[in-house]
Amino acid sequence: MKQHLKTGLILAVFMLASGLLVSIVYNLVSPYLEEGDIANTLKAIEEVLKDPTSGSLIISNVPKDKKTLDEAIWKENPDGILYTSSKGAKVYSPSYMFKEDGKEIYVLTVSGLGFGGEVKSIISLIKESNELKLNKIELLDYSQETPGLGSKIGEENVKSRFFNIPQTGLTSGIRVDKDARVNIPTEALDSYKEQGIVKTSDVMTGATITARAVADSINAAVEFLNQEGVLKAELKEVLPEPIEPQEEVDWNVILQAIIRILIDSKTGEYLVSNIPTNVRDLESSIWKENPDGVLYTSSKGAKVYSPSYKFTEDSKEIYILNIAGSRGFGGEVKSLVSFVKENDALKLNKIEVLDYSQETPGLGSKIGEEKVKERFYSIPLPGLISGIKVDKDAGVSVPAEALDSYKEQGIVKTSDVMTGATITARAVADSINAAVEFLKQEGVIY
Amino acid sequence: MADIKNFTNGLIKNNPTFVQVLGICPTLATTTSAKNALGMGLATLFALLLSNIVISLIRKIVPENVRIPIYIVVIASFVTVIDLLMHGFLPELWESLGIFIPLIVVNCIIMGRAEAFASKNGVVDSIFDALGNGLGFTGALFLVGSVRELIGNGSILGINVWGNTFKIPLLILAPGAFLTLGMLLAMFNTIGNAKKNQKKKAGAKK
Repeated sequence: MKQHLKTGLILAVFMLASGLLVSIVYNLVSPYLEEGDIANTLKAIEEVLKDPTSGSLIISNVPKDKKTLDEAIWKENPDGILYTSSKGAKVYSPSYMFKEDGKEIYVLTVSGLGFGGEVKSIISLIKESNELKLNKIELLDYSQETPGLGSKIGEENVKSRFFNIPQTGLTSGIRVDKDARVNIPTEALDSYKEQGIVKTSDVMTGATITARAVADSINAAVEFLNQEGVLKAELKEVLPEPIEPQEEVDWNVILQAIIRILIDSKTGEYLVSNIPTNVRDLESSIWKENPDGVLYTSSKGAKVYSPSYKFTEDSKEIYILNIAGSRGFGGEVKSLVSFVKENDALKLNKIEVLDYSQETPGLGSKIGEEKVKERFYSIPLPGLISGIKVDKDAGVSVPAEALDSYKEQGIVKTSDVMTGATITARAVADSINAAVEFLKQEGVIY
Repeated sequence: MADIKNFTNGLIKNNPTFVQVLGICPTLATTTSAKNALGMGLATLFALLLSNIVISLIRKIVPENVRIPIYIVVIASFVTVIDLLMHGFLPELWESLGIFIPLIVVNCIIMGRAEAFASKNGVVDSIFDALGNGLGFTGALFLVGSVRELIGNGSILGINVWGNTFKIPLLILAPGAFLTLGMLLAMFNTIGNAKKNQKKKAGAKK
């Protein structure tokens, strides 16, 4: 006990001594830190009050100390924050306004979320004859950005890409070229600024996040000025441009797949007598379609795509649906599935997996193999209604000879033929469930 | 019984970076330019020197079972002091080194020297040891930083060597750090092995 107390006491003494040392040094250094901060702020403000092209000062009496700077305060807030945008970019208090020859110059301290933390800058916006433009920007703090990459934002040739953005650009929202997905030739920098697109990818390779933080912070400043009535404009929401879908539907592949799933999974014979032989035949069999392209979306994000097909033969109705499970490993897993309705009983006949290009080769991509696909064949109505699950998710071990009896419970064994790729198999199961829900909604089953 | 061997040992024979392969995180991350590398090396050197002195002084009063927390407190205090001083007086360097200054606390070279040397030896020897290891680390960082800046940007310490005529910007990016360090390690290992073989041969002849 005594030993413990002694040890603890020694430890406490060291902690106190180190705390004392750090506090003494902090007290010694803090005036320099503060001085440095104010000097930095004043320097940055002077810098942003220059015209980016001529380099001469826009106003005659630039603040030289804290007192004169305080006189120019425009808006302030005891919280320290004047505005926070939806993207977490901030406008800090205080903000300054200078007036000179009919011009109003707003100087704001802003920040956006960068790679390692906030990227703080001072920006100046000039309002002249009801037109607002971004004049200049000075970076204050980007110490958390990666040295050599994001930290390049402080360099003149990078910063200058954000200079002189006209009102049209500001109101459309500032984006960096990577996010806007455009390739800007160096001579067209200014015309793209009118659309709010700033090229940084050439001067700051591999550091989109830092550049985006600056763009976000400028947007926050514009939103703030709009809120304060300086700028009366409709602001556009900035969203990254979606990647253009480049897929061309290959109808031949679909036709071949449809022909394959029109084969009865049990007997191996065709379910219909007049098999579609070309795309026009298919069109005449369309059952439901939707100009949106999507017929149904399940709660798990699995989709039934338009169009769907229906064939009738004797007393049988055969439904063919385009389905996709959204939660594959790398993206959507698309398949075509056929259902047969006979005597009011529905069963899943066959499934053909069309697109699994995003799944891991050798693991999830096995879903295209016959021995894996056939595990989903011939699922009877009770199984469909209880919802399809793969054995891993159901937490059961299905013996190989009991595959069919488990299908009646909706449990499909994939773990043996497709080890380590539950996610892909689950995506297919989800998409089948979406198809069943869709058929239920359309009154095919009750 | 101060011994100059304690100095040369850390500097060359047991160089923390190239022989012991310690402190690799800052070696990889802060060597994007020779100046950053030098700043990081010197900051580590000071932290190592101060912590070695203090730990060697207190080695007899520190109870065995709480020595590690005490060493960490000592190291962390000095690193915080260095961080504050750099922020106050060298703001530009402080800005470009960013998070890596506070991370000196967990640099295994400092902890390693405290545990392996300073806690067992006198003050003067500990100072020699700290200077040897610290300069060895600084030199290694400066070398890696210079190579990366030279090949990646055509300059050393911001001074143009061949400018834009030959540049592989990859060397400034993260993969470049691994490549450069790997090449230099291979080079120094080859030299070390060659020397060992020479000594063996010389010994055999005797």
